[in-house]
Amino acid sequence: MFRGVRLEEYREMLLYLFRENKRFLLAFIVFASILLLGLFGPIFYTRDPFAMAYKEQLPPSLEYPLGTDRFGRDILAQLLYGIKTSLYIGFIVAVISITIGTILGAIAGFFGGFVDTIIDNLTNMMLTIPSGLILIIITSYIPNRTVELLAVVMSIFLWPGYARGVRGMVSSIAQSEYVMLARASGQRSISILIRDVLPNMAPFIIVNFASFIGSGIWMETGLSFLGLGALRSISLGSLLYWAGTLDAIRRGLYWMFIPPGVIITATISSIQVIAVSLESVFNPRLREVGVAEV
Amino acid sequence: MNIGKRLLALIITYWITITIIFILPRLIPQNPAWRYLENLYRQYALYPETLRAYELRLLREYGVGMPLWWQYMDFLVRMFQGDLGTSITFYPAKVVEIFLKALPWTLVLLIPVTLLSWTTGTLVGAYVGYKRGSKVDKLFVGLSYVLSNIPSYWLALLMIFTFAFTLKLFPSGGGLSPGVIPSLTTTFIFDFLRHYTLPFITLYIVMTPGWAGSMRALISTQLESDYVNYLRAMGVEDRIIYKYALRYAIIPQLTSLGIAMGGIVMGNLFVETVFSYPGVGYFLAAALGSLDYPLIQGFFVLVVAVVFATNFIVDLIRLIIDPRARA
Amino acid sequence: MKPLIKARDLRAYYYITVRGRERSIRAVDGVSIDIYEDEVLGVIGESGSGKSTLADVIMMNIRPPLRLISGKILFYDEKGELELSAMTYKYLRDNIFGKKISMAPQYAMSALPPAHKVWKIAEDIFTSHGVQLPKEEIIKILQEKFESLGLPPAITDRYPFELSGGMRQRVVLAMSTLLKPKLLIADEIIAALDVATAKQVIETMKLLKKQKHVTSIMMISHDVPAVVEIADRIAIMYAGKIIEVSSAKEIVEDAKHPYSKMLLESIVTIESKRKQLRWVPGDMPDLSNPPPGCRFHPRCPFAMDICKKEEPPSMETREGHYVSCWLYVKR
Repeated sequence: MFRGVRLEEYREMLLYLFRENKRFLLAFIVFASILLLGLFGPIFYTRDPFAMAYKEQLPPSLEYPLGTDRFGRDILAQLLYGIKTSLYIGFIVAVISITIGTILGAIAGFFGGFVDTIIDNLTNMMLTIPSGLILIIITSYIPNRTVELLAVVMSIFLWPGYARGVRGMVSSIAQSEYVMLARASGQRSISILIRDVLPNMAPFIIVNFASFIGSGIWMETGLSFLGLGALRSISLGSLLYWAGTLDAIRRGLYWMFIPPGVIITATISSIQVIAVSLESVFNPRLREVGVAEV
Repeated sequence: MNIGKRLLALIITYWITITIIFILPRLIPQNPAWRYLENLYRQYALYPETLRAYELRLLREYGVGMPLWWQYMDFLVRMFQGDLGTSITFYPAKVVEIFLKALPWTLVLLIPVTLLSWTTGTLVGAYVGYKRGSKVDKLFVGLSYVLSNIPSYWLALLMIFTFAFTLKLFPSGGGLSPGVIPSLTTTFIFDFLRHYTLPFITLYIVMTPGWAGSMRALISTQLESDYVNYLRAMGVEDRIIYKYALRYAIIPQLTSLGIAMGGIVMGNLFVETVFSYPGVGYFLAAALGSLDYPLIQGFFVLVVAVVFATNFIVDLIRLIIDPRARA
Repeated sequence: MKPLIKARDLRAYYYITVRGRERSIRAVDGVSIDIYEDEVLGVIGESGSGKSTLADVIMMNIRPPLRLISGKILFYDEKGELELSAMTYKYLRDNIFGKKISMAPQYAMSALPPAHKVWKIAEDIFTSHGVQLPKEEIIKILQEKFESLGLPPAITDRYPFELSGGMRQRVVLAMSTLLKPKLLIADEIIAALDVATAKQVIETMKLLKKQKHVTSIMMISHDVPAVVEIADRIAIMYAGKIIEVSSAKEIVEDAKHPYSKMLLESIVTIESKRKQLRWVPGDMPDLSNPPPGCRFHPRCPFAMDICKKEEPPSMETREGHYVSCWLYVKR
């Protein structure tokens, strides 16, 4: 179905990664654990994260493994729920950014023209303006902050840079022989794009997808900490927000703010390691091969 | 000329950005004080005589009820006069006033910490880049993956918890203890430093890995280039080759420093908020929380202007240092 | 003729790990060659024949993933005989590289640090070999040398990025011969140049030799006419082995090996009497998995049974003319 790509090759590279790259293995285990916690945690640990009780500010115990906050809510329940929310947001951000970026970048790289100019100018703008600041300001102006809406806003800052990368790759693949051949033999452009160009970019897309999940989580946790996160939703960032507003530090309620931060750091660093390791395997550096001209 | 075109593009981008930030809140105003003003305006439209003098002044000051283009023009005219409006949360303080009061705090904190983290980071990165592949290098890479992903606000919380709450070595926040006045006395200096230390350390830990990582990459790239291979094959000493590599690697690193300097004026929202450190970031965060549009807008206008100006200057400096850029 | 370099049975392989499997690329696989004083030795071969690796190996510029498996290189100068292949990398860098044997690499476009002035680079080369000279002296030496090579003396104060490709190439040649090495190895230096510039570079090399900036030159290229123009002797390389060596005249007029003949016939020159372009069908063998016996047998129109099984030895058909082909082995 896909021309010019051998799937067995990719599988071999992945196996190699798991065997040889210890850092990747570690990161994979960490991320997989967090993922499992987020997906299946609430199923096994059924206490309602939103339920308030009179058991306030309790330190960790058998009944409440991670203690409670000032409203008597179970911290562990909140944490599990927060993991799920944060991962979900990261995933949505990645999906939106990659979709828009790939489509527009491919159009720009293959056809050039109008779309190309827009992407170019947009990326330049994004590079000059302090996007962090604008993100925060725009988010604060939104009245009805839902998870999905926030994800859309965050994607705005991710897709242009990625689209530029896509455009570059597509444009150079489009100059290659078999694409020229396909075009000359009358194949429709879209068909060429999907069947010849994109599969060669699969590694690039995957690596960026992973990286964007991390970016999404990073942005979302920051926003939530400032109180600009999704309303009525618990995420890892909002846990820290509550720790701040409920004065957890000064009251010594360490179980409220240490776990969320650990999970955030672990999630984002493990995803980053995964993305970088994947990239190093899919783009074998030529110097390792050592044969430029024999 | 190149410079002229770049300057023009910069000005246009600046214009577009502040216009967007200006229009957005006026499309969906959420600030309760704003709604109060809107109600006031409606009252004025129907029964002008029922409004008191100060209420009229409020309306004039915030331009509520006037058409968008009027407000925009008003905003621009005032901007050129150096008036960026009056804050809502800190009424009646003017936005520019608040900014100028907060700026020194931010600068005093961020300039030294940026310079220090850049210097140590660059040195570490250069060393590790030279020893690429060694145990030191692998250790560094592993560490920086974790360190660079620690949220600054979380680290700040941990700092306060450990050093202020548990060990009681430092105060838990603020710029100064209540009652201490800025003066050249040891009490003031000592008190200031006590409040300064934790935010400084937090920022230092957060910033350094980034600089080290980028320098490592830059040096590695240089050490793999053709000229290094040639010089080696010509018997040139490692010491001298390394100097060449450093010279080429440091240019992008310096450029990044320049740009970071521009960003300093934003302060660091997260760290300043957690430590209640009265810098630009702290007030901006407060303004975001209470949707103080004039303050948000005014700060944004100022900050972006500084960032753009610094970027432009950095570009100019690069033209001078790197002979290749003049080509 | 006095020998400068004697290389015997050199084998140098690249070892690479591709997805967990270690593979060896046998770039130089049993090469023996002599280089004499005051000569230009041309080494001709297609891409993938191992000639660039040979360039590195002859001067012992061997770094991972390249490894010298076996073989010996002897170097001769006023001090006597030196076994290069037994020296440490450090010794080679301090005493040989740039001083006794120099390389002009194929990446000359980027061989010079782009944003450092030409005289500064020369100064560092001098300093590294213990020659301390004041700046004015260095500039004078450079200017004189450039002038004698037909280059504008003003370029001593220029940056490499300001110079054209051909100029950079010639500056590299000048740099590599600053310390008057015995041997200059020119590795594909005209490959990226247009015909006119290439001619200039060849002329520069001739001048360098004539003006005694260098004693001998080993010129490696796939550009046969250019090599023929300057070389005294020519060696032809195929799949990691040297299959024929003789004087330039003999190679051109009376090449023996089937590959040499096909290679030479494929060249279109103004002087050639053939109007057709004949190419050598087939591809260079994969050096990580070379064919058994004579490496050329899959493409050779005269292949016999024995060619597929055993490697031919090197036979001297006429004085100084060596061929490795079963066709010329007398039984």
